[in-house]
Amino acid sequence: MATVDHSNNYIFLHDIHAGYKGIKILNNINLNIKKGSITAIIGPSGAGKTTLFKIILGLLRPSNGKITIDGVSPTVFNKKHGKIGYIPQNLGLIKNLTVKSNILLGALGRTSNIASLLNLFSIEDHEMCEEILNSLEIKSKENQKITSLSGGQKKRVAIARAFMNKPDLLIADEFLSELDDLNIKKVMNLVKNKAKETNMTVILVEHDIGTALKYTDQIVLVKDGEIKGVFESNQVEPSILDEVFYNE
Amino acid sequence: MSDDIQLKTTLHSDSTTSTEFNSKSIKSKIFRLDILFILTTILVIILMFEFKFLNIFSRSSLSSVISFISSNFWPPNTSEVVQQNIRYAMLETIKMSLIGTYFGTLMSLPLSVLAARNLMPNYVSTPFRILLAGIRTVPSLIWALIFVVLFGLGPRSGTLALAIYTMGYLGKFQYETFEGLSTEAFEALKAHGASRLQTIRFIVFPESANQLISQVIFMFEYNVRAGSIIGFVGAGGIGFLLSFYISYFQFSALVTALLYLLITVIIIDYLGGKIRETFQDENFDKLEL
Ligand SMILES: Nc1ncnc2c1ncn2[C@@H]1O[C@H](COP(=O)(O)OP(=O)(O)OP(=O)(O)O)[C@@H](O)[C@H]1O
Ligand SMILES: [Mg+2]
Repeated sequence: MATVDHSNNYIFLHDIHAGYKGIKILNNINLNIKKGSITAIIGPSGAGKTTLFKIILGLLRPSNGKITIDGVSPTVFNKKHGKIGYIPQNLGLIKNLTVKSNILLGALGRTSNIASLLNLFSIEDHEMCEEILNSLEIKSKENQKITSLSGGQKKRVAIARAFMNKPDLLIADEFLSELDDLNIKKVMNLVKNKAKETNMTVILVEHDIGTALKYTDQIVLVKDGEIKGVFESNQVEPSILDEVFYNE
Repeated sequence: MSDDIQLKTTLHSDSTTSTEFNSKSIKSKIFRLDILFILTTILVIILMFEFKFLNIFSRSSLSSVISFISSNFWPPNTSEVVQQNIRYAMLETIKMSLIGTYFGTLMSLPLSVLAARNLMPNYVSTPFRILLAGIRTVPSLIWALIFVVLFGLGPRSGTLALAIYTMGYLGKFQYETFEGLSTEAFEALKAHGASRLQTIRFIVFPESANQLISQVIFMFEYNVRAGSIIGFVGAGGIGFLLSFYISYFQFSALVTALLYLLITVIIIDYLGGKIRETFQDENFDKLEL
């Protein structure tokens, strides 16, 4: 396993144990992620990838262990330090709202309660939303309900909503499934440029090892609730990843 | 490349175990239902003997029932005065239901948000669930009696009773709807820094709007029926008239009133059903009042 320079840690998980209602899912998770890096989490279904994301997002409290983002706990980070963009595995879009309304919800964190109750978002937010709609090529769908979209279009709405929050940390579960190769390329280039521009950190779950190798800096292999290996994407052979799977 | 494909197949290998588990638990449930049905049937038969149900079918009681009905109830009283009274009372019941449903709904919405386990911590939701359950345990007839004692006879007391009762029932329907919402939208918005109020505004209400409307219409239908009964304790509406006809032995007018009530309820249920169809809610039809 690669040793990591601790001074450079942005996200730091130490001996994390977690589960749901007494059922243990994650065991002894140790992980370090550098600021501005792109990390892929890979592993079989039920390995605990989404659970790991919930820990990082502060949506699930670990039963044991320590986690910090930018030196503070996830909840404090989310409130004060930085912005998170989250694309859940099943997207979590609001089906009865339009594409545009859904995307604007990414700006709720910087909109006051009263303004948002009246559905008032700032002009800058509206402009930013337009921009994102265009860059993801869903502008023509902006006034349609989510239920009328295709799978790939829904995915892009979720991506747009995450971008709307001007994220310092982008967390994307099964990010690229349902997108065709061309759209994968477009979206990943968009993400890479944003990551470079704003020093955004990206963690994503990706089932296709080829794609993961192509677009990420680091690959984390999760199985049975444990981390089985951390690899630099430009130094690892796909066959080695494969071996780790079969040796269990 | 071929490695990738092999890897993908192993990724989803554990899906078979979960379906096996599901079919097993369903089987055991059906088995229990069988036994339950037989046991309840036996129990019901025993209880029916205790109530001497068979005596109903004895010749003397049957013939006395038939002669009573044929001499007193038929034909219905169709005089214009009687019909006017009935129409007025029927309309009053509908007005009472409308006002009661309106205020009941307004009061139930904040309560159901507070009672939903996925929106509030348990120490908030539990007391509000107990409150709603408490309201429901008192039948609407008793609520009407309470308000008649407090505020006097008439439709005002009946309307209050319907409002309170509506609050108790709709509140339960609503929090069950809220709790059925998928958690992912909540997680997504929470991760993007949304407050609890914002998640209620942008997830809870838009996503359950159809169900909420459908429930309100159902509740209105229910209130027209309940409103007919609560009149018996003097809380206004058609029920008041029904109890009047009964206590003064005006059975032929009673039959006219019942026919009016029957037709009104059928029309309202039909129209309500049609409207509710456009606001589909699969879960709702399973609920029992
Ligand atoms: N809310 C929950 N309550 C109880 N158990 C859960 C819950 N969510 C997930 N689990 C269990 O935790 C384990 C890990 O789930 P998780 O969603 O983290 O897997 P995953 O690696 O994301 O899988 P996939 O690739 O299929 O999305 C699974 O066995 C799952 O059944
Ligand atoms: Mg998952």
